[in-house]
Amino acid sequence: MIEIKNLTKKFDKITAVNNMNVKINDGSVLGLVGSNGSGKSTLLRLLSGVYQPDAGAILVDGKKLFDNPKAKGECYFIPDFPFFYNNSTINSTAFLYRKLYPNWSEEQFNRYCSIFPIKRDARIINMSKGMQRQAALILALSTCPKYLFLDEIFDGLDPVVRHLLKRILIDHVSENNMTVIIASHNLRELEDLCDRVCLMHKGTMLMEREIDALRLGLRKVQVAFSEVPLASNVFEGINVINVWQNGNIFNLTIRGTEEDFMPKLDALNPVYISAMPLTLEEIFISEMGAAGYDVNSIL
Amino acid sequence: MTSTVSFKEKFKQAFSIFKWELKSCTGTLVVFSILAAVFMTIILTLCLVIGNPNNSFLYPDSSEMTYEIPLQVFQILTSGMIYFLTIIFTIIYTVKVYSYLHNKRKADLYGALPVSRVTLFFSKSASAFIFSLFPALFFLGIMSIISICAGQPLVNEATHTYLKLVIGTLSCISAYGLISICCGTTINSVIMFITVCVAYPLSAMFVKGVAGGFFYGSYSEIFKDHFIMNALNPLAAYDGINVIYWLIFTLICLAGSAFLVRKRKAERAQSSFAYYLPCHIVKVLVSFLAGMFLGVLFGSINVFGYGLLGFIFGFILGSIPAFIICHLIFYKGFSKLVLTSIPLGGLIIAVIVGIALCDFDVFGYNTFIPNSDDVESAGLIDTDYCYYDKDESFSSLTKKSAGDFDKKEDINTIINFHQQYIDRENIASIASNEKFSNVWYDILMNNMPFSVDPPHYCFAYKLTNGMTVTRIYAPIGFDSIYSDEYYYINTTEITSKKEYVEKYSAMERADISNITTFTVDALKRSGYEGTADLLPNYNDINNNTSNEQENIPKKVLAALKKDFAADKSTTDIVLEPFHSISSDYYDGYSYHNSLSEYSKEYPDVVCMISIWTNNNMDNEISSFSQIFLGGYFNYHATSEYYLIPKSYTNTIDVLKEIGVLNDDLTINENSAYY
Repeated sequence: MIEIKNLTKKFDKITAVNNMNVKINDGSVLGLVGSNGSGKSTLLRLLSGVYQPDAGAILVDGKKLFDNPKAKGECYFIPDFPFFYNNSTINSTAFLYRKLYPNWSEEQFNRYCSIFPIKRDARIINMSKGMQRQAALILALSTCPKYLFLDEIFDGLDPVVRHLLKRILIDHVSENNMTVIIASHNLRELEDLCDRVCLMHKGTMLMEREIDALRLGLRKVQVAFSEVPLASNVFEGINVINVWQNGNIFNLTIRGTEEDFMPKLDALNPVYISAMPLTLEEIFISEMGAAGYDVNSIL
Repeated sequence: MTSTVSFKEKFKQAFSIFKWELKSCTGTLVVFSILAAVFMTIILTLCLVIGNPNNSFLYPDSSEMTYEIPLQVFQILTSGMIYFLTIIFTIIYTVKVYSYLHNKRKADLYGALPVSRVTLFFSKSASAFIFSLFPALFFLGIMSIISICAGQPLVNEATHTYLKLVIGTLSCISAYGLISICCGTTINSVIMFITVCVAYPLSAMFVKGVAGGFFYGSYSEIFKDHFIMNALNPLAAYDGINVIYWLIFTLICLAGSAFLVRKRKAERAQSSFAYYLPCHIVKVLVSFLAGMFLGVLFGSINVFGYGLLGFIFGFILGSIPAFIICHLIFYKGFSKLVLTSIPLGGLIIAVIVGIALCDFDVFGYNTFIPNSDDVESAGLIDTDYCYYDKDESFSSLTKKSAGDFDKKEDINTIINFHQQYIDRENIASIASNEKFSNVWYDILMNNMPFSVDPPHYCFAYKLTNGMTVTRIYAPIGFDSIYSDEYYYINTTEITSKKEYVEKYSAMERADISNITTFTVDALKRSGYEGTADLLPNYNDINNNTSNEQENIPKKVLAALKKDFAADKSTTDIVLEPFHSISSDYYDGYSYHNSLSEYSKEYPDVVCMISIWTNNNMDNEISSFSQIFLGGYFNYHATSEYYLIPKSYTNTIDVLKEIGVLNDDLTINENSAYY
């Protein structure tokens, strides 16, 4: 289990991660979502031991991670731009990892090399962005990490490989109880993969919840009236996060279950009403809007 | 809560990283090997072909030639070539190896590896050491094997190259490693390394120059080849001297690196610095250097009509812009300029106050002569009458001389000579701008590859309070190079004393190998005849000199020393010509006249023994220059003449035994030495 306690990381005057607390259970897939510069990549670097926390602690299975080779041997981090030397190949990099990572599996290595369509002895630096990520994934999965940290891993991958990756990760999680933390702006992919999601903004965690609960807790509701209600507080008593009005039609994002808010909306005598769950992207936009980060406030 | 990793495990990890680094550096290693092998083959071919003793065109008299010289040249050129190639490739490896601290993507890769930061740093450093040294030592080994198989042992230059490379590489890599940890970018690390290597020795030269230029008698050559002159310049370790210092330097750098790398923030990659101390040191060094350059220049050309004012103006004009330029380079802008300018302010104040104190001679260094009542003993060395070994330090020789004379009369004589020197050289009233000019002179002279002006008069006093005061005067100032106005003191009163001769003469101090002329002269003679040369000549040495012949000069010298030590009464007779001839020895006429005079004045004297020494003053003149420059910088340092009375039985017996003297104590004209 990973425990993040009062974690703070500052870069000069900028606080990239501010007093963050979260527990990540083994065998879970956590999606890190947030605005640009919200501290997602910094959090991953802190988790992988690249950065040292300024305050607070990261405990991996109860052990501090920073500069702790044993604990780091259980983790693997693929950054947004993985580094490879000019003459690095998958084989030559595997030569190093084989000695350094205690759980390195030759069997897995051979398996992933055959699954992903890239050559082992080709120079990685000459490959496309997507191929480089696949190379990094082969190496990462071959170390059989207990904790896998992925930063923008879906960037550059074609839909087939994205699908393949998701399947491999899900298999790994279910078979080996691996914990995966993925930072990504590709919410559609996260939606399929993650069981929990952590929403970050300006270094703070806005929320951390199971995706299902998140989806159930928020509803996108369209309400049409024959005449627009005059009262300004027409939706009083309903936990409306976001309202967008187009003539007589209101598009609402409401926190709560349908049992809670439908009777109240019915009481307003709408001519049409429909409720449906939000996509992760819609949840993201509405939550960020609630935190003051939406298109209208930016414009 | 952190778990530990065993040493064996750490070693395994380090070795894995080393092997991985080896793979990434294979290309560079191959290039080094190809270049070294090709150059070595070219040099060997040229040396053997051009130096072929059977080449009748080049060597018509080939019967006496061997491959000795060509193989020596091969060794020297090859070791020199490998030396320079290694330095270049060391720079390439080192910059490459430590770039993991400066590249954000590399920092992600290495920071996430399950290796401790210290293990990672040391395995990277070990890679740099081994990649730099191993190929060089391999090719030097091949060169040695070729030479030894051809029957030519290694010359000093070649053997010294091993040491130079090992010490230089260790020091440079560890210093660059430390700098890399402190810097955020590779370019900052490289700039800082170069700046330290250049700015520190130049700054030290100015400090030494000020000491030599402002404090007459301080003799700043005391720091020649001293580690202080290059303390922060690891490139100087490639000279292969001060080995102990450079080993300590390496250990300090590695220990400092191990401490700092643990705490270094990885996010500092691509920032200006991770730790700011080296930045402040470099900024202050560069400002000091620029300030001193302009300050001493303006001081010496008497800007504002007074040297010190010119210096102050020049120092401020040089140091402030240099500081700002350094700041702009390192910080990529003006941020924190004002905040970091405090050391500059301190530097300007300290230097100006320091130079003013020196200029006004506030502590009276230049005019200090102790009161005879305060002196327990004193010493004087007149280098015209002193044999000194090429490796001997004048300062320690002078310091030791403080105990030479403890009679009040002798102490007063020495103090009187010292006073004469100060008065005649006008040391108390030297103009400010002249002192600044002397700084340039001192810098120039101290950086000549050979000694131009050794000290002339050295005074030493052991005071009653236990302190020892020394003043070592060498000609100073550009005028002294061509001027004959340098004041000579007649120091015979001290230097003709037996105690002096016993301590400082070539007879007592010089090794037989450093004696170039060792002759026995008849006093009654006609023309130039009447001299027996005791040293075997060059051809004899190379061909058929027997051990017995080689030992003869040693025997004569030993007998002379014995007689001189036992002589209680006739010392004045013996030493009479010690000074008078030596100043005229080029003048054949005076020489013969002197001998005739002595024969009349001292009828008891049998002959005169002359001892000349060829004292190579310069430590830097190595066997390389001996081969290529023909020992151009050697010169005679001393020439001594001893009258041998009949009472010197040991000497006379040996001279008779070897056939130089007849039984009637005349020179044997049929002797092999005649």
